[in-house]
Amino acid sequence: MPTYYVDGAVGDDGNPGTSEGASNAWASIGKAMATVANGDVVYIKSTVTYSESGVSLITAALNASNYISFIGYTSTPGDNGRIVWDGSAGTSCLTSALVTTVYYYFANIEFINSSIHNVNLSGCSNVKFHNCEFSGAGGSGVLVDMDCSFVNCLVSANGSDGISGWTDVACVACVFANNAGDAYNVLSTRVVYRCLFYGGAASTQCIDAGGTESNVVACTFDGGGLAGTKAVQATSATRCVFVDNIMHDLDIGTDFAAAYSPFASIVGNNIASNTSPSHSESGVQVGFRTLFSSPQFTDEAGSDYTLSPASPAVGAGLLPGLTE
Amino acid sequence: MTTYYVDGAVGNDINAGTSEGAGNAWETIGHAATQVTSGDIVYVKAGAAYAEDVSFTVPGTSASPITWIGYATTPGDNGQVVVTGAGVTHIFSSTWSSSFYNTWMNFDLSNGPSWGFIAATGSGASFLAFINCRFSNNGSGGVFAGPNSLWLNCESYGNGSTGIQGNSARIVGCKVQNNAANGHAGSCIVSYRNVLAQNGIGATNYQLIGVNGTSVFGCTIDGEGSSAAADGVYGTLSQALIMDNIIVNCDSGIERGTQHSANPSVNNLFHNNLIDLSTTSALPYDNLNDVSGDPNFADRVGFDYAIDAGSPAVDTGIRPGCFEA
Repeated sequence: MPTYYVDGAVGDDGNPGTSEGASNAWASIGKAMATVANGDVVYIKSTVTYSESGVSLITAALNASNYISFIGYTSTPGDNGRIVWDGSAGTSCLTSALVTTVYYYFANIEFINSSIHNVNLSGCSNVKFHNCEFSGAGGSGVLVDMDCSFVNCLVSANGSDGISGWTDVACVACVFANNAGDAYNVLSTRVVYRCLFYGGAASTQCIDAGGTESNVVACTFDGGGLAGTKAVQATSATRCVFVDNIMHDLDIGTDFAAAYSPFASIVGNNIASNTSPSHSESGVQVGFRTLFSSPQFTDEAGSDYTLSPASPAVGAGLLPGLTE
Repeated sequence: MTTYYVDGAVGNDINAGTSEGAGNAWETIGHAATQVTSGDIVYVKAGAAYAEDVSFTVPGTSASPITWIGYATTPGDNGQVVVTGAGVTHIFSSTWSSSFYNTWMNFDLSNGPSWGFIAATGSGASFLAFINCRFSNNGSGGVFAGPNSLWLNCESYGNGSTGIQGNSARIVGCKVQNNAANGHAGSCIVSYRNVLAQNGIGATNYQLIGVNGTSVFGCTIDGEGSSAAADGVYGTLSQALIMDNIIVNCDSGIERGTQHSANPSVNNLFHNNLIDLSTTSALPYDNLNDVSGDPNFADRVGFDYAIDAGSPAVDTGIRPGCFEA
């Protein structure tokens, strides 16, 4: 399980890649992607913008004890500095033909500007992203399949959906901004926690989830007052927890289709402002304590969604996302 | 879709039950339980000495559940109704063996000889909801429900066995403390902003049992040194999100399965556990921002888990515990 190093400024793909520096590191992420196997770690130095497109993930790791990692850094491996991976020369930064569990881990990488999807791993399961950015794609920011997670990521200004996946795609402390499609489009979320959504287009959903076991907690949603915007569309909403959220300037807060009772869901302790109805369905059974007043963000126009001291959410037990 | 009223002080079971007051309301919850159909709402007025052993036998449907709501003076005021265990079995129970779709709000089911509420064991009545209910000091456990049940703003403490038992459970804003066995047994899918503390002291018990896909976040978990093998959060916990918790005084704070398989256990405050994480991940972010230190609870001996301004949990984004007010 070797550790490899990529340095676009001084590296060379003819090097062994096993240490840093001019005669050691590789030059391209593509070289690393073609080489890695079970448990390998690849550190990528932010010396250049990596203008690589269509890099293909070809080798799946064996199991959850053998994640293959690609980790950006600035000066010292582990310093969590980000690299920029610009896919504008092609349809994607990263893609894969695999349809399986792959066990890959990506940290500190900005995937930007691909003509279609920045990251197209639509058949790949068990992929984790930490401290990454997906922005400026012509299509979606990132496609994944099942059992994936996003922590502390920025998903912005993509031409279609922000994150698109199948089931069990967990999302924590992420910001979704200015995406033309749905910000987060999956069949069931597992959990979306402490995320911020704003700047979406008309008739889009911040979260478009099939609904079963879609847990959305401590998130802030701003629909910009556009028609057809929804915080959550959950067409088969059962067994969901929707608590501690702020829904602001939306057309509809949560849309749980009437054909499926949201029974066994916990829906409440939310703030809804300029959002009507806050819940559209035939009888949320466990609706409790939703406040209908302005959350009083610090600077909504400037996309600062922290709460001002005068906010009714302060001291109300509401703990919405990314406000600290 | 009828609304009924029960008033143990002035009601009578020969009444119609369709409005409040003498001459209208029913007297007993047990009578109401035989009269309801799916979609009905039953308001139960506090004040009377409800000493009943109620078996709930009528299921609702997912679209038309049956809802039982306690109140103090005006229906909807969320006043809690005290029901004590008079019989030799349980206070509330159901022998239904599949989806039951009943909700209970504002009931205090305490000091009974056995369970405060029990569904038939095994695949008993499922899809139950308990809101603002109390289960305390019962001879057996607090509450035992079938799968896919939920608890919101409930308390379960001082019971002779498990505090809350149920598979595929969702538990939000609850206090589960000082029970003789596990805090939450079964498989918990979502545990958010709960206090799970000092359950099962002196034996191998867990404050919370999870499964693959479990999310435990914003909770305060205190194992109180239960025993050498008593963990805070226990389970295989693949694809489990464990975040923003305070976990203290456990054998293993988080006892989980395969290395790397868990989703991040991030931003937790650990203190005074024998082992914080039984299986640490080599992935650099999987234990991101975990911190340690005395959380400075206001009075954990008195089960007050508020944290003061000096706590290392303040301003770290860790926000555990129950809902305020």
